[in-house]
Amino acid sequence: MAKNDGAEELANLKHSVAVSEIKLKTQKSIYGTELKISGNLKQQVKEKEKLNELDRENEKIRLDVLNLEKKIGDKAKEQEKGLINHLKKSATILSITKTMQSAIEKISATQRDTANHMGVTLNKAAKINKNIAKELALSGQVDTTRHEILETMHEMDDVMRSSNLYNEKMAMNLSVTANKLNISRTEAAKLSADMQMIDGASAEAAESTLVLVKNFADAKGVKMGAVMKDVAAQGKAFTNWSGMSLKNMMRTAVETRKMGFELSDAMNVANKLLDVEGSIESQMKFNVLTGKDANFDKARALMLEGKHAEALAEVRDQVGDISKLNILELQSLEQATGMTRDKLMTSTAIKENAATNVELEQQAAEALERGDTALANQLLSQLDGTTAAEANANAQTNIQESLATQFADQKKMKNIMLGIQIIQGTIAAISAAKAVAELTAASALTMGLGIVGILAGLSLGVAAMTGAFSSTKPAAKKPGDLGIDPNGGPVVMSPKEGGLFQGTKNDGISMSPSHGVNGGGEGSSGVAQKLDTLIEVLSRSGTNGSSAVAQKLDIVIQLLSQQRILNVSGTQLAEVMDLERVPVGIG
Amino acid sequence: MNINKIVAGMLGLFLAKKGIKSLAKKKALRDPDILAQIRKIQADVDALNSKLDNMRD
Repeated sequence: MAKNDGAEELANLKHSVAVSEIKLKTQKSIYGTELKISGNLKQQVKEKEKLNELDRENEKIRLDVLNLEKKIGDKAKEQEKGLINHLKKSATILSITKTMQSAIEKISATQRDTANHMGVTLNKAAKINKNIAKELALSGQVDTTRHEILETMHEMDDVMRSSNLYNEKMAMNLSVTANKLNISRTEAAKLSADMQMIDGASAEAAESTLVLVKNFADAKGVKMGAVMKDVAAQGKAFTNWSGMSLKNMMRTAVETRKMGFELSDAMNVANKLLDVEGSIESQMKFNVLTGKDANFDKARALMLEGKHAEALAEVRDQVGDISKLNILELQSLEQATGMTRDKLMTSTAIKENAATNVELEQQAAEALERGDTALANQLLSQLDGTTAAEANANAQTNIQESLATQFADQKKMKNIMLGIQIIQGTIAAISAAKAVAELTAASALTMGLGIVGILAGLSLGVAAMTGAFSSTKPAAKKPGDLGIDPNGGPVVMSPKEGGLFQGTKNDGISMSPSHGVNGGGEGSSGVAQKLDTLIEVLSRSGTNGSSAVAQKLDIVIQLLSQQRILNVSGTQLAEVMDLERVPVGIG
Repeated sequence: MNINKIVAGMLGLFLAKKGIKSLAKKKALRDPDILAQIRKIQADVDALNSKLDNMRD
């Protein structure tokens, strides 16, 4: 049995009822004629009774048909409500498109960020992102993010100048270490890369050194951040000047810091003391003026041995109390040692007041000296790189970006975006319809506004998405991919124009900038004339003739099913609709 | 372009409205109760027609 048998059977029934009425009418007519010509009263009464009975039967059937039609109407309304509810539920697809759009924007931004940061192509950036995501996923790392790893890689690249010398894993570990030590990632990356390039250390050893320097700084009671600041400002100059390894430079930075000095002080003092002739003359002058017996020979020797911190301590001790020196005496002190009054007095005060755990310092210094990787790992495992909230945020970012890298093919994403654009274009068109409905106050237009959006969005969206994910078919580029009513004709959607059109199965609808200009395009003058007529009718009906407007618009649909090209003059339609301006939300 | 959007939106609205109504009616006519009722009335009409045809026999 065919699906539309119900409709056919109903039509047949109505036809049969009509036939029976005609037959009844005919019988009544015959009876009337017989009544005039026949004198058989008994026969007439019998026929009359029979006719009355058939008339009652016919009335009953008519009533049954009316009840049936009412029942069909109620059932149809029930079905309509069900369909609408079903479609309303499907509205989630619209929010999905927004989420997808947001995700694609995120993927694109991530890829662009990586490409710009590392100065590579988008394709290479996609590969880097994938590797970073892989490393983060493998280690379950939440103490750092892709962006932080990129910052680290960028610095490593700057120092090493070859991407063959570092990789994503090294950068990730270093980024985590920097976070755990709470030091600048860029400085950590620079130092690590320099240690590898200049000191010949391995990546792991360089990373351990940073941890052990922190441990040494902690033992000395010195803040690692302050040490790193000194290292960032003077470290390179100091190593170039002294010929020290970076590891020893950092150790010196900690030691000098502990004494109230900086690397630059060590360089200044050394430059003065190692100018032997000038230094001795200044030393004598200082002794004469102050009556002291300062001797910087030992300090000079320590400087030559590279023991800068000890040399500084020796100078400080030789100078002694300087609180009561006059201007000339202080000038001679600066000439002899290269140190200012405030630095020396600060250093003396620290020496007198700061607590020192010699044993702990010694242990930390030895661990740093031998590069105790096991201790470094142990110390690192005890440190938190992030707070709980930061770890949570990082985890979310990493998951999102990890997923993003799985769909990092820009060509596919462009297709997905096209699909989304089509759906959103449809919704824009529906918004426009809503605005017009409000303007014309047409009751016929108020039904199911949301439904249209959902209906069109669903059909177009699914078609677009299916095409977008297909590797062989471009997304929703062919009108044949789209459709609203399977019994209707082709549906054409223009993402730019935000328009939705449907004709019959054999029809085609074309739209272009030339259509609708100067009252018509090629081959469409017939339709244009019909539409002009329609517009005239609509104009006469005015904005109050809402039902008339609705009826006339039905004609537009009819015209669409008859003609191949629809041509609409925008100016004329605007006049008809009494649009003083473009409705809000359209444009 | 905005007018195109308006026209497209209006047409979309009507097409969807008609589509939903048509689909709902088709579904209603496929309802077994309705079909049974149609067939019952059809039988009554056929009987009436038969009686009308044979009235003069």
